[in-house]
Amino acid sequence: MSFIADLHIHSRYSRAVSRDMVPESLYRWAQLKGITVVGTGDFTHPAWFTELQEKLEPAEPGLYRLKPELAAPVDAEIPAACQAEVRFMLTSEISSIYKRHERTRKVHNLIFAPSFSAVANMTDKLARIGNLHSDGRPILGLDSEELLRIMLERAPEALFVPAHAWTPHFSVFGANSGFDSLEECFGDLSPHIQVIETGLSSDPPMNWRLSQLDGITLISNSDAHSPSKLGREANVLNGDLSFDGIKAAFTSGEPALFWGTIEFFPEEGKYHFDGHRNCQVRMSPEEARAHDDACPECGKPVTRGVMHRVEILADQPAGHRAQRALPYRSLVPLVELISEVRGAGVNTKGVTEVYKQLLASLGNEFEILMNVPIAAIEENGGMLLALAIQRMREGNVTIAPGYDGEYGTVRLLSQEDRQSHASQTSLF
Amino acid sequence: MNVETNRWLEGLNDRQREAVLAGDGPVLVVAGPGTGKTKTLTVRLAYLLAERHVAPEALLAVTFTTRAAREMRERLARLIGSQADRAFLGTFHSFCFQLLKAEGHRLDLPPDFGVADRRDQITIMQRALRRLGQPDTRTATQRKLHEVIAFRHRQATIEPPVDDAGLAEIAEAYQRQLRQCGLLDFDELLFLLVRLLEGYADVRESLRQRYAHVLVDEYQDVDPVQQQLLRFLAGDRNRLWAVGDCDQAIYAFRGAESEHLLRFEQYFPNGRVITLEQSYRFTTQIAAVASQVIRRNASRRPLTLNAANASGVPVHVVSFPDERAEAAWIVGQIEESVGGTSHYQQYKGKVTDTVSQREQSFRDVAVLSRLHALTKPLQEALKNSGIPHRVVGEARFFDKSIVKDVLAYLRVIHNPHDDSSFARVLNCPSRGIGNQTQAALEAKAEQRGLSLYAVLGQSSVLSSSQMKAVKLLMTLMEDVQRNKAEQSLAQFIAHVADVTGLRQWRIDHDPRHEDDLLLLRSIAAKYDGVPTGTALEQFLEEASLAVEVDDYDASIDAVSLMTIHAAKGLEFPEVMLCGVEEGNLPREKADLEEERRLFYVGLTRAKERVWLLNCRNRFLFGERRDREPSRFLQEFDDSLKETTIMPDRPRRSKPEPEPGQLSLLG
Repeated sequence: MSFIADLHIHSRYSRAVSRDMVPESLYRWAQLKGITVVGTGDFTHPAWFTELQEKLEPAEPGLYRLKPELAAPVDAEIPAACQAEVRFMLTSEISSIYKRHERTRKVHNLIFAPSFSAVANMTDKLARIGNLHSDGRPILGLDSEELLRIMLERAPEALFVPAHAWTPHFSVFGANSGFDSLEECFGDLSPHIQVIETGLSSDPPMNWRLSQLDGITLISNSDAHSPSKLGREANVLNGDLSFDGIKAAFTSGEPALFWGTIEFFPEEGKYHFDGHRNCQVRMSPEEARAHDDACPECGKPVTRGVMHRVEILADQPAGHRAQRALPYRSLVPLVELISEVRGAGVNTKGVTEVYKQLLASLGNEFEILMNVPIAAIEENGGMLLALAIQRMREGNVTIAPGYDGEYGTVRLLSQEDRQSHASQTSLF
Repeated sequence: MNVETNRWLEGLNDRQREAVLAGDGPVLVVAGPGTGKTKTLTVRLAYLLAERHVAPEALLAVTFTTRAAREMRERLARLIGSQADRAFLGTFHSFCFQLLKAEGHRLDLPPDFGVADRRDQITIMQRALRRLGQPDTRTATQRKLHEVIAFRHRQATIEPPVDDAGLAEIAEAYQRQLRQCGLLDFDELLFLLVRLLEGYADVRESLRQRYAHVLVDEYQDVDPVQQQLLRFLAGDRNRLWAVGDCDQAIYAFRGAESEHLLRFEQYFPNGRVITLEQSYRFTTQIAAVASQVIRRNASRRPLTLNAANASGVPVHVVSFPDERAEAAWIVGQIEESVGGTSHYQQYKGKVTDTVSQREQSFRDVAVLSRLHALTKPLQEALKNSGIPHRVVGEARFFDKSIVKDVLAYLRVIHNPHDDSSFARVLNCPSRGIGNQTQAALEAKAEQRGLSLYAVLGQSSVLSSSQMKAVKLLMTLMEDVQRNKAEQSLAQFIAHVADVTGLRQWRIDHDPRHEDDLLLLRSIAAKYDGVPTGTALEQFLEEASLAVEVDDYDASIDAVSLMTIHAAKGLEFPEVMLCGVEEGNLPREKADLEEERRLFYVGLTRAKERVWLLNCRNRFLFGERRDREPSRFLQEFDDSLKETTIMPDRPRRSKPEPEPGQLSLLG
């Protein structure tokens, strides 16, 4: 059986996260998106942990499900075409800010845990190191290597994954406060790092350019802060639906267990290119190099993006394919496609209505984006949408890359497309 | 001179080198903040060993804190290796302790005496008061203890001794009780050693023979009794080499007198004074501000700080409407210093983080204040913000309950007649022996002039079930005593905590005790390889002599909140000094020069940036009061500071949303 897992999300107890990030909403949106296993996020937060213990019950080994009495009212509102089983995995992200080798480091790491008791074992210790109450993603003055050591001692069966490994400010390879290698960050414990999360701004081919990542499995998650962002990136698994099954798929990178990942177009990520958001300056790595990494507007150093950072650490040419390379598919969220077709904002009522309607007739979002025949999309969503999805599937997209915290903007349709379809009648 | 020595000397500036190479006569090194005091002192020690061929056993170097002593030992070991172990490098109290162990029999001290900690002192004072039929409430006891300590200090230093029959009687009763438990208190270590040296010329002589060189750190903190001791030790050969800074003398309330530093030449007419003024710690701006302020003190030695790092920024003075505004601003400033703790702040434009910025992490920032109470609102704000921080020095490690329990067990194992410790272990974990029973036992012990341990076995006070529990305890202690040789001290500690049921009992109550126990074991681990009997004795000595133990876990990166007193001897890239207000710094009716030194010490902890913060209104100790900025802020040139006045809170209207916030959420 093949299923999709998105394991890095945040609860309403994290900063700048929607109040709606509660187990019931995760359950609902996982079905709308087509996700079978969704991470709980924030397991270090005491109130969230309690809520999870109250609302979830054990399902397959190491996985949990929403209690039936809580699931039923949600199910009633979900289109039949989308209804599916949803499992929860206990996951969390920890922000480590600390000095190592005389520099300030800020690294976010994920921990996936198989049980409430494993979580309790770890949080017991972490609670004595820092404050877990104020933020679902706690800030600890704890070296990443020490955090990994604590996990290995307290919950050896859990899985440790450096999060969005390339973002400039908060990641293991980040340009501003990261490292040049996993060894530099994790010291003697670096062999325990077998999996990294690539983040929105990088895709597998960018990572394949580093020989040091040859033996590392690349995974992808949404890092969603609101339910509708679930599944922006995700993992497609073939193995056992259980904690150990998923862990084995990740650590082995075995194609029989792990088909590959669902990706953003990396240019759409917030830190793909270099630049300055305040000065509205966006630069490719070449342009930045030509300016000595200084902003032409204000003269200060630009925020170095993921592409540039990858080029610095890469020791293999673009196009190199790692031995462990797995397939991937680059997608654009459905609401963004509808929004482009209609020329209306993603949060407008019209776009939301169309989104709901499509899901009701065609099935969950991943189905629509990846599998539903173009003809069926055309029939239900019109020619322009069908064309947009077809182009997306072919990778035929135009993107103004993201930079310095600004998302990139994707274009799938040209003026001519609109004109040539103008006379056609469609749903819209 | 050998190559090695030359290399050490090359690392010094001219004045430091002069101090290292000085001859035997009395030398005073006046060392401003950041001028390389400890470095000079350790190179001096190394130089005496390597070039002057002084035997390590003939070196005595004393300081005030275990932290300073450890640093000295580590640095010296790096220079000359294991020879360093054979020199005496330690605190005044540990020196006295060792000598009294060897020679105390002359004063009729029992050979296995222990040192009473604060809690022991209170228990013992309470008993003394009870015996004299005086009020023994906790407050009364603490007050009397305080008075007796001051009384003895006056007795020891003022001639002729003060006459206060009432106090003298209590002091005597207190001391008798101490001895009955086989204990000395902290001050007595010094008094008794001085008495020993006064009374026994042979001891005095042999000490003078043994120590060819006496080096003293933090000379400005020496109190009259310590000064007397130094005079005995240095003797007529005057081989005293002292380093200190009168501008950093902030312990007058503990009896320290910087007099002997100020009038060094009067005490030692042949003495030589060398002044270290080149500071390697801070920027020229901080040095200039510090120098201008401290220059106003009359009782000091001339010293003008020089600093090489001219890249600094002005000293910031920030004024806030109240303590909440101050706390919120500090949180924001810490965020700024570390370049933001989340993406969210960066979107909000609250902080910027680019590679070119300073490389600070939480540990590089310290918030200093006169009192911990002053930073309570800040502690709350930091807690809400999620910024890792620690309040340094609030609870002493050896004062933590499980640590005290374990130490009490160890003391009883070491000396069953240590009543104060025995009283603690008796019902810990609970053995059904309540306060009343305990009081009855103590009365019985007193009546017969025996220790608690001695009366237990023959007591009719205990019920049969209590007796059973106590018998079990005693058998346990005997078993443990017998087996101690087979384990290292660290294992032994774990064993004791387990078999007595102490560990489980404490951890059920609060799981954090597990960590305290682990830390205690890791402190004990340095005695690995030493026979447990000896290790136990040394460990108890270390525990009772530790004025401060670092419960500071260096692997955790956090902002430090500490008092100025606790920060002495430390440095941080960024320092925020809170409550620079009249009534707080300086305090009313306090010695203005001492207050100014306190301000100076706070200011000179900073290496790169310093913020002097004041509130126009502050809630403290239950009342809200308007406050004026400290006069010290007017004692340096305006050109050196950048002043920001934060506006008063708007009275009625809601605070306006910050710019940027709306567009982010939209």
